[in-house]
Amino acid sequence: MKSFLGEVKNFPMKILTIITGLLMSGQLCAQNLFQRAQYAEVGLFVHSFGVPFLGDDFLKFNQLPGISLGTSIPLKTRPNWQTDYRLRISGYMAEGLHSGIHLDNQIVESYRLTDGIRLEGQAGLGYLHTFEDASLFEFDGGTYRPKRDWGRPQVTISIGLGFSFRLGRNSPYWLFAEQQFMIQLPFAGKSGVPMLMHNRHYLGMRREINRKFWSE
Amino acid sequence: MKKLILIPILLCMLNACRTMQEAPAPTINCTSEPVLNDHLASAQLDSLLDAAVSDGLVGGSLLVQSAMNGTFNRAFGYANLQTHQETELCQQYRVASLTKMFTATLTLMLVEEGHFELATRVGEYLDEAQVSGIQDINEITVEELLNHTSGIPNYDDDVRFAPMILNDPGRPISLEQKLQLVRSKGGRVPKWVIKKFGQIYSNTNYLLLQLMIEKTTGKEYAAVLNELIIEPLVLMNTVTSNEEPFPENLAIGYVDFYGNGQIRAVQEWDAYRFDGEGSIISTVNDLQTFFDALLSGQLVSWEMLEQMKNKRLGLLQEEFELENALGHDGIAIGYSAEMWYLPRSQLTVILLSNQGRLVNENWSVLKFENLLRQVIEVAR
Repeated sequence: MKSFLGEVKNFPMKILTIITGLLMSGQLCAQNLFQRAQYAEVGLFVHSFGVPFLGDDFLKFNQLPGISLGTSIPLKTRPNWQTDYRLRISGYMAEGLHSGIHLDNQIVESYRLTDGIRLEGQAGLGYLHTFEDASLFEFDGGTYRPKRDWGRPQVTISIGLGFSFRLGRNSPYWLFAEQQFMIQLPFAGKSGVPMLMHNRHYLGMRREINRKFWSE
Repeated sequence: MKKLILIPILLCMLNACRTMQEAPAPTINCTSEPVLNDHLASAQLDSLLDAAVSDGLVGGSLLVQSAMNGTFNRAFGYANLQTHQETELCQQYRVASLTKMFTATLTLMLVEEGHFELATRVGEYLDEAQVSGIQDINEITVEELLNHTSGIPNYDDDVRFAPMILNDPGRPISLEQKLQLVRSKGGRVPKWVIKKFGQIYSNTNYLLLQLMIEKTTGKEYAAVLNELIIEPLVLMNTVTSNEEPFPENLAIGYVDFYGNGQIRAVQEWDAYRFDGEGSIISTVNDLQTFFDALLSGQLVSWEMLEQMKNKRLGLLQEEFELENALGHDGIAIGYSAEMWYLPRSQLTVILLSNQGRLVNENWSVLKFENLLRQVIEVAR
């Protein structure tokens, strides 16, 4: 029987996809994101596949472009520390392989170093939908026929480190930079590549929406 | 709220509707020699190939030459699924590790010319800069490289190699970059493991043999290959991917990379990564000419050929229905190759396909190898 995910034939993958989808929609609805959002951000990143810290590959290969949009709500505030939930939507292009649309749920822990500088660490669970950069064919009725690419659903696990920097005293604009490592799975296990590791270098801008959360 | 949810949906729809990057179509400009299909089991072989195509094999070429039963030569399936272009006998394929037979032959030709010996230690012959960082290289001999008993790790087993390919499919990966993977990883397969398994197959061995060939002749590998094998044997449709990554008759390679029943073109992925371990692009007829010349003592002496067979120097041994065979197989992303000679039956079988064997559960390994075994069973 074909599910709404149609193309997904791997049962554990379906479960993971459904859980991730439920988590995301639950978060979106329950937290009433727009009312509590503390900032909106736009980021550009360069992206690569590679194993971090083994050789210099992860720096040399970073050449795939991507763009992200995000927002966050505070979950817990303590002196100099803050825990946020952040939602990021990003898209990237890996020419010759695939392009991806990524929805990431992140828990961000930030530390106020000074009034204008924050250090941030992040851990995320996300959903990635990839589209092949090639025509697909499926064997049907004794011959190969072109197949519309509706993409492949996958799960991501990410960690990241970065900082944000206020652009001038009392400015609502913050510059941020971040290094993110991400695992995409399941990738191509039957071809010997069960997961794919991503490295992203982000640079972006944030605009405060509700200053009482972010600037106090 | 609704707008936020609509954004990823719209992005997905835009992506699904965008124009896909189309694979370049092969143009068949070669002229195949008239084929004499006089094999006694030609009808059965035809049926086997038709059944394979009906069962999902994209395309390929088969050559069977039996001293007792005759010759069978046929292309089957498609060279390009987008245009439904059928394969021709002069269709070229990446033959991947069949290249090792050519590299081994070149090495043994140079040994016979007296440039070095099978017992020559690789680390002492090559420049230190070329082999530095490869463990125990001063102890490893040419013979150990040829028959995969050196214990040098396979560069493409390194965890960094797949991302190197996937990060930019079609990006050139140099011989030096591949050696660097081995250097930085370090280590060597212990002797007892090699003894237990007989051989520890490693592409790195044949990179080092290429360096030996290039140092000895002062020429690039492709030039030596042209001079000593391709030109003398008039292999008109044989090139290396370093010289010409996409010759005009190259069948488009496909693979079910994710194991979900959907295949895609991937002929760029291995276009610029191979050297002496897998760079040759050829046809069944050219391969047959080479294999015949090798096994009839035209390229190396009979004594050297015996060593090649007995010590498995560039030749693997396989058993098909209780009969030993000599030859090699080859796997590139999107291509499969098999070339075997069964001495007792005096049978040569060369099977090339533009479908890769990356997946373990369907066409990739089992069905392709079953087809080979069925062909051998019928043909001998």
